[in-house]
Amino acid sequence: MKKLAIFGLIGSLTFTGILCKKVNVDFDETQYDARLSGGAATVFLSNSQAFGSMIEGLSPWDSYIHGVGDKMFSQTFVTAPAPHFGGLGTIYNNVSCIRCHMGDGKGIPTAGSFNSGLLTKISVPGLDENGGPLGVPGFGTQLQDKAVNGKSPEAKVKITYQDSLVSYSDGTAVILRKPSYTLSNPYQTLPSDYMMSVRLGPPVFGAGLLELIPETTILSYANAQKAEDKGVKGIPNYVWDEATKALKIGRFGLKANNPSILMQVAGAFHQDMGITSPLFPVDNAYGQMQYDGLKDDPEITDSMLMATVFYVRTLAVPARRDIEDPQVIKGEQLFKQLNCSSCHIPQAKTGVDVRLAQISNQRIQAFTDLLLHDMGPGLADGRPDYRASGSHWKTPALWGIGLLQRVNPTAAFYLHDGRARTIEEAILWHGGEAENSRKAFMKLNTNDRKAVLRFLNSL
Amino acid sequence: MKLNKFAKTMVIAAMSGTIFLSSCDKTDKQKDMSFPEMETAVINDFVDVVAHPLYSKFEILAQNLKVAVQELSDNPTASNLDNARQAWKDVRVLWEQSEGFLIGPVDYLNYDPYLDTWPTDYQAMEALLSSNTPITVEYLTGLDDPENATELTLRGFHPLEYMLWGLGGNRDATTFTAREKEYMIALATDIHNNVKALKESWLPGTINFGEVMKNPSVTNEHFHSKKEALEAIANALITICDEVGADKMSVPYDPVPDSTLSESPYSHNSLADFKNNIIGARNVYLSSFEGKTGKSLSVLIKENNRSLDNEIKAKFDVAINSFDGFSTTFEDAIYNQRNQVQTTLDALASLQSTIGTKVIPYIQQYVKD
Repeated sequence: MKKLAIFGLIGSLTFTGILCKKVNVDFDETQYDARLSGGAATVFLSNSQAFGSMIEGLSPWDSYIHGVGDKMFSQTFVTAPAPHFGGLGTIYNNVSCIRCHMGDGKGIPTAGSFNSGLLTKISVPGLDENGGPLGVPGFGTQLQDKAVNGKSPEAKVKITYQDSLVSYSDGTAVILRKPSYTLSNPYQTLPSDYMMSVRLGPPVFGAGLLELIPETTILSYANAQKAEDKGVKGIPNYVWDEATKALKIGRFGLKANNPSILMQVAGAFHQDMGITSPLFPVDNAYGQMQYDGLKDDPEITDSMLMATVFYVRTLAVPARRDIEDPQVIKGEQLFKQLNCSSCHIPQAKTGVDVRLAQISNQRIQAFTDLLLHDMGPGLADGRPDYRASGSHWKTPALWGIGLLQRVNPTAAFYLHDGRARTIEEAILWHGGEAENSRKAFMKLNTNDRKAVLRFLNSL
Repeated sequence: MKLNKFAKTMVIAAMSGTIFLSSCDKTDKQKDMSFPEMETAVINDFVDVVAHPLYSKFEILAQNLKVAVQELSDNPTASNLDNARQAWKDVRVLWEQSEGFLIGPVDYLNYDPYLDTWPTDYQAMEALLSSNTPITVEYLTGLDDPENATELTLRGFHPLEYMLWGLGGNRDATTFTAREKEYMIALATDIHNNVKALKESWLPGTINFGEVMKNPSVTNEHFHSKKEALEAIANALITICDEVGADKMSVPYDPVPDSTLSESPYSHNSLADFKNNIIGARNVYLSSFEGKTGKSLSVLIKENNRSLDNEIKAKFDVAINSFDGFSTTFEDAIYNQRNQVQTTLDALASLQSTIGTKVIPYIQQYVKD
């Protein structure tokens, strides 16, 4: 009888929905500290180390692994065979993670130099077996423009810029530089129909939080934009995950072309540095004349790869600054009025991570929807990438954008290929779905434009 | 009021103590300037007493290295090889001490990787030496062909160390080939060029980073306030303690000893490198270089927390003196004097922790502008 009563109670509670209903622990919006861009994974630093801080409160073991990953992230690799850290190339773009992500931020939009942060994706029309870009025979899907001694780079990338003037109605003018990319000295003939996409590595902090934004949240953004019918119509990318052998929603990469930090990091070791890992154990030059034939794969161990992944996952987000400044507040209001926040969605809630409380269930301010948007012909690269068309780009997170100049004064460049030298230039490049927002920004008076920029610099 | 003898004695003792304490207080608290003035003086003296003189001497020693390598090339005797090796060690003292403040151009203009990239790339060096490419400083820096510039693993102190000592430190002066001489001269010239440019980047004429540090403001791209400048100096101390403790010493030591992972494995100069790193950090903390001193973080902290200042100074001494406990090279000690390695690691961790948990909060609490 007692047992029956208990079952009855559970049944009635379930029926009334009490057990099924989640407890709502969210505070009222005004109760949050607007400075906490990364929730509990926020760091109060605004100096040159602002992008490179470990989230606070990690256990001693986790701190140790973060430190191991930190060393791997900054480690220079050399030509194999070598006593340590061999395996560079034979064809590659750079020798370490840190050279393209200086101070865990960006690199410089040049190609072929020791501190160049650009990489070039290439493909030919068609799809590979997983629906991704079809590699160029003899080149693959990424061009390696450097090679170890005795080997040939796949090709060199030439960059030229052409200036154009954009003027506001008050007479103020801004010079935009439009890049042109051409390939020279290919080690073998390139097919005439190759497509290329030149991209600058983005900052890496906060990735652990972005990885935890639920897929349902991202999809809800797409549905909301569609329902609003204001010309903004983001779509999610679905891309191949080598770790699970399945298509997953894309979150990382400039076209949301990577599903996870693991794929991003292992892919960068493999394609950018020519370092094989358990996830990508075959040399990137396999089948090409640059292949070294050494039986040294994988060139980094699983534990080294995973430590690097953990390092990226546990980098904190710098806090916002000057949030009570009237100009910043005004700029934030204008940011919303201009509909910038339709794609650069200010807040999001991360899902649960039972291992890392600091990134689990956090209210964050990444200013992204992680969706692809048609950004117009001015920014188009003409190269599809899974569901991304040649004019689609993922909405980048804006947190930390105001600190780029301080983290590395030589590497504050914006947009997917670093063509914009200021945040204002970046806004003026917006087209396609963001065309209306750009036009509305251009109609603002000088003080209001300054307010928008000041707000962005507070992120 | 009548006082007995004991009480009188106590009153006199107390009064004299008060007088003593007052005078001590006046001297130690630097009443000649306000706290904000002291903040300014600390930043100015860091630039004028430590940074400028250190970089100046660094350049002189880099020039000496270039001359010594040229003489070795012209006349490859054992004596000239010894001279070149000593010149290399001498300039390393200044480089390692300068790492006590990896702030500014050395960081964001990449002079650190230009000078000190590790590890060396044996395969690339051998390939270069066996090629017909003229090995000039222009070639190393990519000035003559930017698209085909060498990687930084072929530049800086460590390839030159490899040339001068060789694996195992048994390099014979008579065995240098013409190509090796060419490479050594290019390396030493490249080092000197970089050190000279680094020195000049702090002086009027180009970036003038010394003045950038001295003039924090909202329009200063590097330092919006004195607080940020002082934090940068304190953070530099943490950075070097961490680099020596958690990286340079720990990696070859833990978990399995491996001497090939040490910083200067050919010259066995690693212990001197580490010690000079921490001496450089102490120079910054005390604003002291080559016998000259100025207003320092030490003075600034003593103003409100004398025991913290004493604690930091004591921990610097313990850490630096711990290097004298080694009776062999670091490359040997990681196998045979592991307790001594651990003693130094513990001292560095303790020092780093104190700066991180007490000095940074102190600056944040007391520095308001």
